[in-house]
Amino acid sequence: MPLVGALVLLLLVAAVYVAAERRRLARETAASAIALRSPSANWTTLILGDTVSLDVRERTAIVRRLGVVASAWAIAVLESALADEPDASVREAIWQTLIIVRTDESTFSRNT
Amino acid sequence: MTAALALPPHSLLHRVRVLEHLTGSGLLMHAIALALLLPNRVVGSQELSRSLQHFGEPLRERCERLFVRAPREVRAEQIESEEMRVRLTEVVRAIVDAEPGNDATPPDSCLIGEVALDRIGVLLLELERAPLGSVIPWAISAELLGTTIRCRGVEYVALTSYRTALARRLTGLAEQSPEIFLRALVEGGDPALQTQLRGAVDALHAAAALAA
Repeated sequence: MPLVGALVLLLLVAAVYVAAERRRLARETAASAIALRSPSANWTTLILGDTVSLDVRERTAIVRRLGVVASAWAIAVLESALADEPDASVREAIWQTLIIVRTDESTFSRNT
Repeated sequence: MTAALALPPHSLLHRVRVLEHLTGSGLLMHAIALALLLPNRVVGSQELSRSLQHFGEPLRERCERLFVRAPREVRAEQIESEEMRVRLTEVVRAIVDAEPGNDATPPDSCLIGEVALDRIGVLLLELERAPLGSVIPWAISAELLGTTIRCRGVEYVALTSYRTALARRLTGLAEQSPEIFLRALVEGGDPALQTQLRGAVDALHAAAALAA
């Protein structure tokens, strides 16, 4: 009898453990899915104030267009994006764009 | 009256670069082009030049933001603010009321054109009762657009047909509600107008190559 009791207890502990692990995995999966859609990339809201979720491809396209504009406001957005962007490939695009616009001498007095 | 956008080489190159990246089929690309090419000088009047710059600079930033974000829909407050409307009304009123200027020399490198004061006067009356987000400010900007590029002694009369076609298209929307105009910014298209814009950008590109 004590053996059966111990087995039941063990099964109960295992069930609780498995349920907790499932919940943890579900939370992590949901967080990853959100991250893929909009991995806390709040910097895009600095452009027009809208909060539409953008994927990596769309954010990369925005980085390229910020580099084309290269006005003071666009450079400020790129600098904020560097601190906020969670995706490594977009961060790399931001780095490259910032290097280009900072070395482009036409950037400095283009508001004439 | 003659209005001009001074285009030193770096400024011309920058504008050409943005214009060459314009995409889409609605009127938004033309609105962005107008903001980038809006005159910043009234030849012979420093005061009017300052007023034009006071209006044009925030307009340009707004349009650059729309270019970068390429939204699927545009809201009225994204293209115009109350402050911008006040500034535009003031500058257009001053242009209409201005005495003929002296024979001041326009900038060496510029996009320059004659402003049709009679048409601007009519649009001013409409501007004073148009709601925010209306097409009227854009119709006025089209009337102010320069038609000739001057660069290192060379002239390209390249934007006359584009200005005429764009002004006609925008004025045609004046009787519609702002919502129709806001939809036209991102929907539909006008291949002929796009072709004329491409022609204008090609001419600006040629001038930029000459200036470099």
